[in-house]
Amino acid sequence: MDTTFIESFKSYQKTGNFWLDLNPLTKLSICSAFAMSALFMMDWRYGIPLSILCCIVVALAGKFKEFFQIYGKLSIILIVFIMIVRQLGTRPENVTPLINVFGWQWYTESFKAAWDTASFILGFSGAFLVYFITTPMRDLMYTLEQKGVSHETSYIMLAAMQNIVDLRKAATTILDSQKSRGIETEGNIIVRAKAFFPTLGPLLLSAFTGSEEKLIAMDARAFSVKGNHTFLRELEPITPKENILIFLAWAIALATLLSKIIPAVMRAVTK
Amino acid sequence: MSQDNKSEKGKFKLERIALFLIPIGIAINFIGGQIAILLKLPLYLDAIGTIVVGALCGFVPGIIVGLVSNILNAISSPVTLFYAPLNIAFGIVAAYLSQRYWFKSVWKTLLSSLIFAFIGGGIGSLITWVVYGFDFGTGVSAMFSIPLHEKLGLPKYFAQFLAEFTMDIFDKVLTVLASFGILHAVPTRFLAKLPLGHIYIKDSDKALEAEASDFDD
Repeated sequence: MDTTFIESFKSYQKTGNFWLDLNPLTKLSICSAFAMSALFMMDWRYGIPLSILCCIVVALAGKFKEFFQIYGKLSIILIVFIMIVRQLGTRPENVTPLINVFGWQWYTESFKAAWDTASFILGFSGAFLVYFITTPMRDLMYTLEQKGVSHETSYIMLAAMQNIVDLRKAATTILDSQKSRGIETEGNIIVRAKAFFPTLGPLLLSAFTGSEEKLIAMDARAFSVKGNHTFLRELEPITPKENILIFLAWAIALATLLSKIIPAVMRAVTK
Repeated sequence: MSQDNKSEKGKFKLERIALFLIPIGIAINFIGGQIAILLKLPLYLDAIGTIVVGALCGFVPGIIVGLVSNILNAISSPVTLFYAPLNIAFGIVAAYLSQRYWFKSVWKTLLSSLIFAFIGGGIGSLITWVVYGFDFGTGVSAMFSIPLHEKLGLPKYFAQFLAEFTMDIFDKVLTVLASFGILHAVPTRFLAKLPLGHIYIKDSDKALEAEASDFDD
């Protein structure tokens, strides 16, 4: 009998990819540091390279397609919107004309301000998105439990995600069945709003009553036992090498913060 | 069934049944938004779960639902993290109003939508203001806030606030109506197990009266 699958649970879970195998908390620390650095810099010259770096890291981890589906959409909508919003209306600081779009004068100052804000949001979002695309939630919850977080918290996060998937499927089914019962879902906004309640109602009530059964089922699986719980899948604890990476990431974040604070302090002092 | 459950660190006590209702509340927040999209309604409807769980289970579960929904939303749109205080506030206000029997009457429920819209629109626009660099944010509200600022000469922040508040009213009216419907449709035997469920058991006061008069016979 081939026992490789069963044996694989006796050692730490690895995928072979450097980024993916990092401890979830390491990755969280690194991504948070870079996200914060985007916030501190608020500059397109930092934000855009950071976004590109995020894409590279994700590509190396082999998750580029899922990442870009979300990130690409987010970027385009964000950039277009902010660009347009910033150029609307008369602003006192706009003096340098940039280009003329069908008779609408665009200014350099607003253009730069738009890119500063947009790139901060893109850098911030990119860093966190990289994290969530490359880290399964159950791995994150596992590491948090190792740190002492209660398993109830793990339950909340993981059950919530599972419930979202389950209720989503049920919602489309219930909407269709209500349509077949004659509930109007097309028409003006009032008609559509009225269709909201008969769709949501049965869905939620069945979810509520189902939670009672889940409670009993979890109890039967020793959910409320006071002792330590065991795990099927175990991850390697944080190694010294990973600590170095975390330190470097936060050093960069601190450097970006200081690069903004120190000039401001110097300006205030030399006034 | 409603045993107290101290977490290992003893940080807070959470009723067991409330613990199991929290993931459902979170899922409801997501589903509300999805149904709105399926019905092509231009609304968020992403606070129904927070309000229902806050109303039925109290402050801490309401806050947890709001916070975790926010975190999960942040996975696909990390800027949402900045709006965490909003969702937490919804949970707190829902529990507070529920304890004062506001959700027992339709009119008071509708009135509460003003409070929620104020939080959502007011604090929301404040956060948008800061995040987007003390200027107008993206999103549909910009369509209203910019003309308000340009044509009526209203100060920038106030225009943003007015636009977001007005938009949020529509969203919150539907949200509180849905919450009201759910609160009054939960079966009695389930309500009996929830911390604040006793508020919504139908004719509970009349039932107690009838019991008292039975003893008198």
